[in-house]
Amino acid sequence: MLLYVVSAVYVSYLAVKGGLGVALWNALFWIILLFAAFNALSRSFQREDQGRQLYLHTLVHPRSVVMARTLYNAFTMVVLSLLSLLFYALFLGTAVLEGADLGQFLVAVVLGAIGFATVLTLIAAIAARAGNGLGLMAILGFPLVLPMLLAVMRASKLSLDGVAWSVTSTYFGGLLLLDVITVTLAWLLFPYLWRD
Amino acid sequence: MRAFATTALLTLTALNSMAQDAAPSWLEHTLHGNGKINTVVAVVAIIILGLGIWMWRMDRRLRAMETRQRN
Amino acid sequence: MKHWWWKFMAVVLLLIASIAGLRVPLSPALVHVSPSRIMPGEVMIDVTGYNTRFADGMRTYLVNDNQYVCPMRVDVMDATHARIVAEVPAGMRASMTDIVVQGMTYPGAFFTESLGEGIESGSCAPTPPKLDLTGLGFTFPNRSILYESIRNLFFHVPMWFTMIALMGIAFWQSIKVLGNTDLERDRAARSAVQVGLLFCGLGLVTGAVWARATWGAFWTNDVKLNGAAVTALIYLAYLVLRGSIPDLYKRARLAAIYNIFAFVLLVLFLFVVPRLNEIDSLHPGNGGNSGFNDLDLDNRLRIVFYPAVAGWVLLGIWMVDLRTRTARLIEQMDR
Repeated sequence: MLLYVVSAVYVSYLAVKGGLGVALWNALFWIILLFAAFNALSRSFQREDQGRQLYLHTLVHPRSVVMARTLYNAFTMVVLSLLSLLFYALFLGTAVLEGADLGQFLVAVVLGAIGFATVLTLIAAIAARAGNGLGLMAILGFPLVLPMLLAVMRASKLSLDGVAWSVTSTYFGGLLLLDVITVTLAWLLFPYLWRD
Repeated sequence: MRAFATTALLTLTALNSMAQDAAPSWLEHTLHGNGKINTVVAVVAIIILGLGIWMWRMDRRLRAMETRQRN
Repeated sequence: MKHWWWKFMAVVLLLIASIAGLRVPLSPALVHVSPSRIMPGEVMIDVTGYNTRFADGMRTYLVNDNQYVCPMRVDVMDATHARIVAEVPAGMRASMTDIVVQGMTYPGAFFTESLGEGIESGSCAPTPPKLDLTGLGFTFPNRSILYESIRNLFFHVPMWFTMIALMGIAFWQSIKVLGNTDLERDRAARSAVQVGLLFCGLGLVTGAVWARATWGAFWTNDVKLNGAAVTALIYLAYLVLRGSIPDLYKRARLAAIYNIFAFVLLVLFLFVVPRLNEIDSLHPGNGGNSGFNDLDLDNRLRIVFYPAVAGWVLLGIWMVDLRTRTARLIEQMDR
């Protein structure tokens, strides 16, 4: 997974050559992260075959399963996004980060990563149950993460411009609200997904 | 269906880039002439056309059922 | 009577809204003034009105920063054309001069040359200048740029209201599906989504036409437009998901789960995110634009707008009803 991110960053480094504006730097980073999220999370339910699912079903409540999955995916995404930020900064330069409020930017990255993870966990589960792989997941997931992507890109752009916390905090609040609602929905809906 | 979704996505993207292109002058003329009443005419026509297409597809669906009932 | 009263209502409301929406005249307004630049000295100004009744002896003056220039002569050609001759003094304070004819203002009509400390204000202007609407009856506001296309409010905007209402119905039916995997409810949800997508498409296309005529582009990067595109993609994905599952009950359940999830996120996106991005929307009610609420004399529009919305929503529900019933018949035949 990390390899995917590193190669994506390297390809964009080769493609760009030379400096990027703040807006473009930001957009490219989030696009790489978006595709990384799709790739990483599509596997989260794919690997479980029918037998293993049945076994899990007898052991624990489905809600525990989805919560565990979401937590695990969120953790993976946070680590992945921080690492890819590191590589991204290494390859494409840190000139953009000079005028930025780094704390705010990190908050935006972490919240965005968690948001992608929470939304895509349930979508991955649906796609896996539909017996269709990555293709279906991309179709189902893309329009749902798009709003989140727009909000988080805007928030991180603002933090790169170095605006005050009071401006970005509304975005962070909104993103946090979105995450909480998504997790609640996953918690409510997942048991129905497992029923056969 | 998936092909349809992809097409829709591409069309939306294309529309986005089309926004910068200039429209032909006859269109400009038609839409802006006479206090822009033709814009309203176009909008109403599109809605009626859309509803017409829906009715036509409904009609086809019913016809298919009728033929199947006969056989 | 019991079963079809609301269908009857749909037709009556649409009839009323369409006739009123197309027939009610616009308020008179000035639509064109030439030249666009005035210099000190004698100036000849041609004024074109829309739905106006220019008459001899009408009150006309130029306004520059609350100082007035009275015309020397006003020649009325017909009800909508007039030629005004005025002696423009040097030394006006503001670079833009407005013109007022019969109480109708054309703001920023002229770039003004040779600015100075101010002029001696003419005494022909009434205080306050007011548009005389008496004897006109019921009219719609005449706003610059929009003009007659303000009528699209009764045709384009109800498409979105209907779409959201139908998607809401689909959401509700999907919640019901979760309880006992009722295939009837599943059919209703699917039909509502399909008809909702029709209204979404109509809203997009009519919006593109209207946008071209007012903003000069078919598609702008606008919060509302992004919302519309995302809605279309979400529900197309819903139909793709349905198409990829052969088992009826599994399909009903998975589609319902996706629909509930998607609708909640969509509502958040459509109604919360635009509040976050305070700027960059051309639509009324967002960013720097005046909302529907402070549209001048908006109540005249509302009287027609609300019946239009109600009529379209009822028609949409009727279409969903037809669609569900045919789908049910087809499935019964298949069995």
